[in-house]
Amino acid sequence: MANVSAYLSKALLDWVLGGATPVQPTSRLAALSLGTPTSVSGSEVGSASGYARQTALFGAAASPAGSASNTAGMTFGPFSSSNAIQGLFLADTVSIFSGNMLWYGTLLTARTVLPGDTLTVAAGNLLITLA
Amino acid sequence: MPFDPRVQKSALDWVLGGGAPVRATSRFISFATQSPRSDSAFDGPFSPRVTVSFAAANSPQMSVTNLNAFSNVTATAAGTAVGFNIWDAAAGGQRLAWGTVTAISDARARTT
Repeated sequence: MANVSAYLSKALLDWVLGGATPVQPTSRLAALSLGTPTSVSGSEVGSASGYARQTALFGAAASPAGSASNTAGMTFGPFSSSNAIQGLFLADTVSIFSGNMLWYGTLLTARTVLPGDTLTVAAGNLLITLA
Repeated sequence: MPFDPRVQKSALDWVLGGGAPVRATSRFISFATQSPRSDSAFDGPFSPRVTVSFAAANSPQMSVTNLNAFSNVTATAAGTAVGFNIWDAAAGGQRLAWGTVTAISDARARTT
């Protein structure tokens, strides 16, 4: 996951270069996308399918690799309807379809979940980079 | 304009909550005789570093420009400025970012 959202790109430039005082996220939530997420759009799964955003926890970033990964697994579902999941993004708010996107990317392998299925992202498998 | 690897770590920790990095409180620019890289600033014979301040970043263009012009940079030897580095201190300190200049500038000793 190397894609930085438009919102976060501005925040990072302002944080490093001092042009403004961006707000530090107080929570990080992993969200699932039905389509391919972009820097400004997540095409998120709807709540009626048993889906909810999951809290993402991270350890200290590695340097000079410029990367960080999740320290705890995240399980979505069980789903109540079929959904073709293609992407994942990080947001700063728990509510679906709200808040600011931070990073976005596509799953290494797209997954179609059926009623009763869960989708798990194991610890260490969500890799966030700036490089 | 790449961020320095250590700044990348700080930025990741700031956004993801994996650490409590210290944000730079001031920014200075220096000029380089080669295109700066992650492993070398290639600072040239130009001094001192001068204070630079930036406007709020543009979005979604993802660009930022300096608010103040800077001058009074003295060439202590002949050199060609092809790049720049942004630092958090007037001397030493942490490099924040770097880039190349649009127009290559030749300088002779004691010119500004």
